[in-house]
Formats: sequence, structure tokens, C-alpha cells
Amino acid sequence: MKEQISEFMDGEVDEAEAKRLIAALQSSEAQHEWHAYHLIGDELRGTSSVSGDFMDRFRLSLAEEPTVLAPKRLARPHARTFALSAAASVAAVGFVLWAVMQTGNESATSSMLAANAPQAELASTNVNPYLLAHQEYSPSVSMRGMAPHVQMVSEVREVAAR
Amino acid sequence: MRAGRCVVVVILSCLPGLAVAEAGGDAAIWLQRIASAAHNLDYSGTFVYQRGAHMETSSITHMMDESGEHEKLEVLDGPPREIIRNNDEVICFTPESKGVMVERRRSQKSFPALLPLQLSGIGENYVVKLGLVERVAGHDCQNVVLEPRDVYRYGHRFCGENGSGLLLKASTLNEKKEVINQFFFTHARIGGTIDREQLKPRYAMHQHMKPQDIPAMVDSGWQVKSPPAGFKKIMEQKRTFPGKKVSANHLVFSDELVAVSIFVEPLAGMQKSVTGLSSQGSINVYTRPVAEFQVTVLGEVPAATVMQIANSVSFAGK
Repeated sequence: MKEQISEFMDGEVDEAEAKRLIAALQSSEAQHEWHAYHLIGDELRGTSSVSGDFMDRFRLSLAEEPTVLAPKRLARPHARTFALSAAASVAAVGFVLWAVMQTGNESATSSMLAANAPQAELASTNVNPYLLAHQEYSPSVSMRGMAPHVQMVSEVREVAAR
Repeated sequence: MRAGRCVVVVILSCLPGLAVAEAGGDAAIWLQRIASAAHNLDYSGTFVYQRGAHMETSSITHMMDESGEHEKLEVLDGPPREIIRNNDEVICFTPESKGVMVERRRSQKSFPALLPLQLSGIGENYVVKLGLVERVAGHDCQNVVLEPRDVYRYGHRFCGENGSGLLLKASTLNEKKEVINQFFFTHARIGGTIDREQLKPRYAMHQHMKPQDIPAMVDSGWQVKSPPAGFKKIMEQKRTFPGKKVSANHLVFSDELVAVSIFVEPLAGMQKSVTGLSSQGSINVYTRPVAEFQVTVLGEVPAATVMQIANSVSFAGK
């Protein structure tokens, strides 16, 4: 069983076997194995960030969660959000290549960011056109960055100011 | 035939042990072989670009005939992307956004054609040595190690297939000799016949698009007074970026292996001037205002390099 679960996680089993294993995972013993293998994998990759009893606590809080039958669409980060946000917003800035059809408000976002969060200042200068122009001379700009319609979005995580 | 090939492989795989001892000139010859093989050979395969946790897989088909180089590259994960290249003409299809970009390129540096064909000055900035033999995508390959002579550039390892010299794996190493990014084939077929059908774009071009001409080189009067050793200006042109009314100057400096771009844009029309260092993957970006202009320097070099270049940018007048 252990070996099969490990193979399943590595995507090495065929569909029929996968179905059988998913059914088998209903047993608590198999679930324990499943969880253990993921923990091992996370440790090996150095991505472990949950404590051992995470699943138990998660199950508890999930049980308490009301069931939302019609989930609201996740709101995209929007220029207005930044405009109204509290002054003490902490920016977790990541570069995301974002298909241009998403929005045309990137520049507005950038200027709001610059006004709101000094940490985001650098990221808010859109270096992406520069990277594209540089691509001709450097192989390390991601191939995905080669798209003519890409832009950079700075992701800002709001921290409630109290 | 098959037996003959095996013998060749066996002999070649015995060689590197000897070669490491000799080093020097041999390493330079190997590097030159790797540089030309990517252009002159016919090959196809699948390769991965890896940078930290980020990975990207592409398939490539390359052919050289009497009319020159032909290549098709498909990005296999994420949004579909296909790049067709005929010598210096590049067509990039992005079917999801219905985009087609046609352009001519002055320089084309993409895996496995990462090395410049002109390598004469490389020894001034890097110590070139033969490294170990490794096995990549089922082929034995000889590593050539480029150790930087100062702190202004990263180290590199290029592994060329034993028989043909085709680059199978390329790694960039930081000052702690940690790999910061790499390209490697997971499957490579070298030589043999390439079906021309394989080189055709999957997506149709609705109309014949003429590539934009390569922009003319200019000399704007912007200069870098004291670039780090070995970096020389290789190009300067005007560029207009989307949504900008005023054009920017784009200067490229290179130590013959890596390139650093300098962008000079008038501050007028920008929100405000910024100063600071950031990074995008293994590319460092440093930006600072110089008089009424915003200067941004970026490249796959240590932070010290982009900063030194940015700090010595000035306008000398025409």
C-alpha cells in the first residue's frame, strides 16, 4: 500500500489504479500514509510550513465553517482597492506576468501603489517593457516573458491598519 | 554502422580524463565547438529552463540548410507560445491573445545557442577550464567551466555533447558557486533528417506580415564613464515603449558573454523618480535618476555590476 501511494503521488500509476487508490484513501490508515508522504516530500523540498496537527485543526475549523452554496467570484486586485486602502499597507510584492486582456488599469495601479506603499515603489516602476527589450540580448528572460502582451502586476497584500 | 558509432562513443568517453589534465587551450577549443554546434547542426528535443522553483519546458527543432538556420520553439507549459525563426527573422505566436509578433533581431541568444560565435576575448574576463564529463538526456557531455576573474560577473558551465559539441546543459553560478539558473535537454536527437513539416508554424498567419527593420544604431551622447572591467558598448538604439510618448535610449554593454541593458528615459511624463535595486529572477535591476532622466540598468550580473554601471552613467553631449 505504502509503495502504491508513493507511486500515485509521483503520478506513476494508470487511471484505473488511481481510481482504486482514491477509493482506498477513505481508510484512516491510508490517509495517514498519504499525509506522511506529503510531509516527507515537503521536508525534502524544504517547503514544509505546517505543523503536525495542521490537518486535525483544519478539519475542525472546516466543520465549523458555514457552507456557501453560491460562492462569490474572487475579486481581482483592482485599482480602486488600492486607492481606498489604508495608508499602512504592507506590500508583498511579486512579479506576475499577467495577460493583457485582464485589465488596462495597470498604470493606475502602479501610481496608487507608489503613493501608498513606499516598499512597493521599485516594483511599481514597470520594468517589464525593459525586460522584453533586453530579451534579445539575454536568454534568461523567461520565454513566457516574450509574449507581446504581457505586463507586470504588483500584488499587494493589505494589512488592516488599526 | 551501429557498432562503429559505439566505438566512437567509447573512445570519446575515455578522452575527458586526459583532457582535464591538459586544460587551457583544449577548453577554449571545446567552447568554440559548443558555440558553433548550436547553429550548424540539425537537432530536435525537449529542454527545461529552471530558475529556483520556476520551471519551463520547451521543445525545439533546429535545421541548417543552404538558406541558413531554421528553428521552431514551442513553450510546452503555461500559455501556448510558438517561436519560428528563420535566420534573423523571428515570428512569435501567442494564440491565446491572438498575438503575432514579427521582428528582426540583431542578436539571437537562446538555448542551446547561448554562446557568441566570437569568443576571442572571453579569457580576459573568465578563466576557461575543462570540467567533468556528465550524462545529460542520455548523452555524455563535456563540461567547460567559466570562472569569473572578478566579482562583476557570474560563473558559467557549458556541457557539450561529446561527439557533436551540441550544448546539452548550461548553468549560471553565483559567487557562492550555487546554480542560479540552468537550461538542460531532457531529450535530444542530434543529426539525422529533420522533417520540414516539423518546422512549420502550428498557427496560421492571416496575412503576410513584414518584419520590422532592425532599428538604426544611434549615438545619443549618453555614456558610462567607468563600467566594470571588460564591459564594452555593443549597441545603442532608440526605443518607444507602449503607452509612452517620448522614446527612450537603449544602450547595451557586454563582456562578450553576458549583456547589460541601460535604459534612459526622460523623467517628464513619469510619476516620479525612483532609486533602488530589485531583481527579477536572476536578473538584477538598478534604477536611479540622472538629471532630468530615469536611468535603469539590468542584466544577469551581480547587483554590484548594475549599480556601478548606473552610477557612472552621464550625458556627455553630442
